[in-house]
Amino acid sequence: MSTTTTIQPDADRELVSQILRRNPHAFKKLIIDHEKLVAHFVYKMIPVAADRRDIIQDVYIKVYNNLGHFRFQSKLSTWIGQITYNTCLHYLRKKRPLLLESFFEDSNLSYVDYKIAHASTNTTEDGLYARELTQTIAHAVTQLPALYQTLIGLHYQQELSLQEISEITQLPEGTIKSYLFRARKQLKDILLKSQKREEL
Amino acid sequence: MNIAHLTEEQLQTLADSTDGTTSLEMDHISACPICRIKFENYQSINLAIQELPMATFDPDLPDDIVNMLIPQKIPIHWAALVAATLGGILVTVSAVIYGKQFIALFIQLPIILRYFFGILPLSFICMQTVLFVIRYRQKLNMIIKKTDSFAT
Repeated sequence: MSTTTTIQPDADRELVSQILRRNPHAFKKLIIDHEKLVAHFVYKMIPVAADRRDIIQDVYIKVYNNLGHFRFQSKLSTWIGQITYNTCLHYLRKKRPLLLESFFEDSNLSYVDYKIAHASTNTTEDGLYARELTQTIAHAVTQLPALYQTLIGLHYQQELSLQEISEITQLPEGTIKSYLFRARKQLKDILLKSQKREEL
Repeated sequence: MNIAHLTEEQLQTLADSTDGTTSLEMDHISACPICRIKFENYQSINLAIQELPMATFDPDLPDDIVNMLIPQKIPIHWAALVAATLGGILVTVSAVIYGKQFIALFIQLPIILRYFFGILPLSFICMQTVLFVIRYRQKLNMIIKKTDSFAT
């Protein structure tokens, strides 16, 4: 699967050099460019909504403080993803050790608050069907273990390759492939079960 | 047609990407309704996940972070500040030297001018002092946040 990070390496270098010259607009651009990736990790991994804002701030403080040491050996988005993932793990380890355990286990943590209500305002039949399908899938995704939710989102929504996910999470590519396989299988089973229930 | 059905893993790989697929597998899918349905199910799931709405930040968060890390400097109007201070000193010195004559002259001024010469320099100095305090607090917040970040 191809990556869709719109920022090119040269543009990344220019952006970083602008930020190192303390250009606030450049730093805001960096925040907005990587918003969805950072938000994805934080919303999937951190169950306490009140803590998310602090964690996001912490991520960008680390990014800003360490940007001078970034050597472009990976994509900027991968580096920011690593910082976010590690910050979330650190939070779980420090404040919610039980949740950290469950993050890596097959538990049912359904704390993703997708904004389903705003997903589609289409009133045609197709639009209603699409919205219903989106809601069904979104609900099914929340029934997956938190780790699977995170990986599924990174692969399909953030469109990161297995190699990039491996770089960010420091998990072997084979392990990620196997987790994704199990996640898709579970998702299919959940959807089939819910369909059977509806038919009954 | 290949009689053996495709495995779940093969179906998922095919639905996920066309990379690494063989024409043999695709031939099987086009000929086998059971595998085709499974394949299409996986494709629908993948597409639906891509369409799910993504989490976003609070709208004010990017600005908050930027202001915390790179505080925007509020311009200090040095020329006006110096002029106001000099004006204030001049008025005070004149009042000391000319005493009652100066006060009488000041009272004879129209009320607007009295406010202009008396209150304006004072309020300008107060305003600049407040701005200094705000900037100092911003710097202090930034140092606290950075220290917390390093500590963790």
